[in-house]
Amino acid sequence: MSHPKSSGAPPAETLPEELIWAEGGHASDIALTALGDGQAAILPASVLTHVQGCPTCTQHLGHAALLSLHVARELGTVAAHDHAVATTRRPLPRLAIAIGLAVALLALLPSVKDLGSISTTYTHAATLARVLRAVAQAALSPSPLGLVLTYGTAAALVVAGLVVVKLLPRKEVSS
Amino acid sequence: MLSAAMITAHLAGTEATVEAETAELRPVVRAVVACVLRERPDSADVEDCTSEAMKRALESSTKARGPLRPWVLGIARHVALDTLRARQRQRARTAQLPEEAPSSTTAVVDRLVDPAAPVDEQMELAERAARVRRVLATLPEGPRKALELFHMEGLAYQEIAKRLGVPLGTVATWVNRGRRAMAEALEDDVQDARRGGRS
Repeated sequence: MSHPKSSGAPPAETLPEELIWAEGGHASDIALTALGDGQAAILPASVLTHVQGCPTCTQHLGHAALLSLHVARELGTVAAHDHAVATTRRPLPRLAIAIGLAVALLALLPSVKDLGSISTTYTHAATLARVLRAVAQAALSPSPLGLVLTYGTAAALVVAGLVVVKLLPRKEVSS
Repeated sequence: MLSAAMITAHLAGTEATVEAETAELRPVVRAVVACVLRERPDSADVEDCTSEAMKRALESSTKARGPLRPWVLGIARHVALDTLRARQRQRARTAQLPEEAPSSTTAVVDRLVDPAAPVDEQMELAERAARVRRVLATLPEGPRKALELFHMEGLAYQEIAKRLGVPLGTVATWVNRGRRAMAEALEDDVQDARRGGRS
């Protein structure tokens, strides 16, 4: 929160006389409030001289200054709260999200072009799955064909193993 | 390039400015002390507290953050309250009685400048801000704008008058009335909240 300027350039005008003095020759509440706010420049020197020498006006000036301090602090809480809210609840970065989505869509374009080859691959995979399923069903079925397939495959695996062992070079073991 | 002598001169100049500005505040500091102590401005206690406040303000002027005026007045209030509490303790010891309960004015002033650390600062801040907004909304447009421009935007009375296109006297009247109305409404709000909390 900024603070009001109390002095600086010479005043262009001062408060009207009827607002400055109260009954009994004391300074008015308005004048004391202005003085408490550091606005001495808009008051004639006679007011300042009077207040400095008058216990009643000095007491009132103290009260006015404390009141100014109090209200400034209370209003400061509004500014502090606004600031806290602004820092904790930042707005949704909509532009960044939109740009991100656009980039993602652009990156997808080559894949869209390849959609035909994807479908071909899928067809091949489905055919292979169907063949494997048929073989598995045949192997598991109680028919003689299933038995022939099972034992035939096992025998083929044993023969293949023996062939591999025969073909591999022997390793010499020294005692 | 800045020489050491130039920096020293600059610092000395800044110190002199702060010293001059602080000295200008002496009458208001004295008034604040007299108001808090509820004593005549020419009493010895008021004079002692004023001198102590001015001394502290000058000694720690480098620590001042933000505007000088509220900071110095805050110190003055603090010093006066310390004196008041010391006096109350002394009185309680002498009379062998429990310590005197602070007057309502003192309690209000205590709350203003030395708020206890809130349990949940964010909640406390939100509640206070909502309360102040509520009270501000009850003020007529002129006083509300004048207070906002003075306290929140830091404009002088003359600048507010120019901004709002009204005579200087009107601004001074709006600030004076608006501030009193606001302080009263805030106090009522606090009292209502307490009554609500008790019931």
